[in-house]
Amino acid sequence: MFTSSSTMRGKMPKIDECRMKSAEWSGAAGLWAVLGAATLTLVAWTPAFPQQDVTIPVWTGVSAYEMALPELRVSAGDATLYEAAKTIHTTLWDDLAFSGYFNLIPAEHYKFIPALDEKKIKFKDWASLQADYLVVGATTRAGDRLTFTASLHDVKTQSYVLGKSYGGEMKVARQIGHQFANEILKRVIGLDKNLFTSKIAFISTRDGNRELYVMDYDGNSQTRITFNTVPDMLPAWSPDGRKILFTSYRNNNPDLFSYAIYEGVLAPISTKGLNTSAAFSPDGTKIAFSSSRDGNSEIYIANPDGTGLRRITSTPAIDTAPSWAPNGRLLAFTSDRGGPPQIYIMDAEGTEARRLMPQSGSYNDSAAWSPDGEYVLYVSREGGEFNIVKVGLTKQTSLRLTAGQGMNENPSWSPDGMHIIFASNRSGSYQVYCMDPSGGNVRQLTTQGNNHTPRWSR
Amino acid sequence: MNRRLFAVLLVFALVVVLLPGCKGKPKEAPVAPPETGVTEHPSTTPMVESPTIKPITETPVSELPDDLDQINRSGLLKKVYFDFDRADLRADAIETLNANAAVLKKHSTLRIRIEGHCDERGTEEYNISLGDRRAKAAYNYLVNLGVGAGRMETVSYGKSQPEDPSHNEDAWSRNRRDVFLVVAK
Repeated sequence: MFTSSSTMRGKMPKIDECRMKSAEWSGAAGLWAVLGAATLTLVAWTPAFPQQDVTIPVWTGVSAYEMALPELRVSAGDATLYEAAKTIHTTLWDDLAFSGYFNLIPAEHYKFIPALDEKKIKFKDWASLQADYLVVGATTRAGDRLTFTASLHDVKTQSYVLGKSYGGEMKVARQIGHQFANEILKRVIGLDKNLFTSKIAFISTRDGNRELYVMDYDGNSQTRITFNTVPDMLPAWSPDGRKILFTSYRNNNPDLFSYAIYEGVLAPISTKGLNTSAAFSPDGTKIAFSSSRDGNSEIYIANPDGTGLRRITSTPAIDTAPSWAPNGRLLAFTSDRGGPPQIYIMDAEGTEARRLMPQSGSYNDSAAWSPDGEYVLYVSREGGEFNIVKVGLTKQTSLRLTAGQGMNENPSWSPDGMHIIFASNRSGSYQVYCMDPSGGNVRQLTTQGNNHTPRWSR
Repeated sequence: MNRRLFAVLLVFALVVVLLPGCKGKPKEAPVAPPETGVTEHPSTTPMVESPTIKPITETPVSELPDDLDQINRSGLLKKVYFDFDRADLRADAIETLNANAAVLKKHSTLRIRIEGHCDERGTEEYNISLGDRRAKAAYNYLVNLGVGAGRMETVSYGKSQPEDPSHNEDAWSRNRRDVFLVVAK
């Protein structure tokens, strides 16, 4: 694995595409072939699509592209607009740096390059910094309305790649930055996942008891959703990011609810016995959850509104914590049918259950299937710790991602599979952290109270 | 035609065809870059909105009336405790349950809720099911002793409601418990 150093100037090592199948989406080869063919036949009007050295880094720590992101142009003397421009710039910078696909060239290397006009870019100046890409942006305003216009340029070919314009109130500056960063990822990497506008649902005790919260993927805008005196637990997103399934004791029983976060509509889904650990299928047409409604904890499948309920496990054991494979045909789950809790895989009909292999440890739970289908994370109890373990399904690999830092629980993948969030008490209290899929680049997203069971939207 | 030139051309053509032989590599489109400085911004500027996440409009959670609260605080029904990762009833738990059953038979109108709890050394998902199993272990035992099933309900709190929030053996052993709450007289 290559490593990168932030102080190193110049070209980062790139990884041969042939050697990076593991980071590809399943079926990507076929998709690329189709795209390639389409590009060839539609050459007449296809816009420039800089593919000359597309490499997708294997996990993070590898910066594939050098990016120059000079400050945005602002009409002089407008402090409010200047602040908004700074917010957009910082958001873009942080997003692109976080993604792992870009290495941001430190600003001091180009502060002497004169203010930018996108019609008169001196590409030679930027090429001398060994930049692959350059973003040129400007903000203007009319009244309270902010307009951000930006373009992305390929420095090597001296060509325009993409141009966008966004408008809105001053307060949406951060949102604008995230949206343009999404566009850059879409065009340069081919990643259509809206990573930077994704959200994280989690449970926090900062206001007294376990309440449901939502925050931006980077820890910003932490928003409380429930206001009650009873526990709220184990949230799960719908694939469109508009609904959250969670368990709540608001009727003195652990019932499963669905909440439409923008409409403000709360609906009961399953209210008999224990109802917990819910998960939407990748296409959003089904939900899986654990319920003791028929006696002991079993896994059920239902429509998202709770109708069409079907039990798919039938053992005297505890069966819980279902996690869908991205193809929607398999589920990883926890069962103590063999003694202590272990991770099993079954098909979505509940048949063909077999123990996940390889799997070590005598107490495992909280499986999370990666978006590319290749990896399953689980939490393993090791002495007085919980650690997160990553299993590679094709090559039967097993890698422990945390060690020696207390309890590390409830891993959840980013939409692009390049990051993992989890809850850890390594600082003394439980906080939400983000790391890359090899366990590096750990950063803390929450600070107040205790925070549990984070789930990243798709 | 010069055969040698033809051969060279043939090899060259093959190389061109086979070069992007790395499977799955996107084909490079031979598109000339647009003239430097030419940009194509969309003619309309989309309005960006930051949709507001609404908090849930809560209704108060029903709480037990004061008189029942007092009964529960008096310790009329005793708690039972479990071994680490276990939901089977220990000898001391059976003794306690026998006493609780006698109280419930004497006060035959009492209705109870059996709460199952766990210590912090398990995962969220598994623990909440383990708490469910602990509550049901007591429930089934009481039913076998002749306490009416209709007078009892079970609920698991997993590890969310420790009696003692400390992180030591003593606290853990007291947190692995069933609590018997009188919910109606």
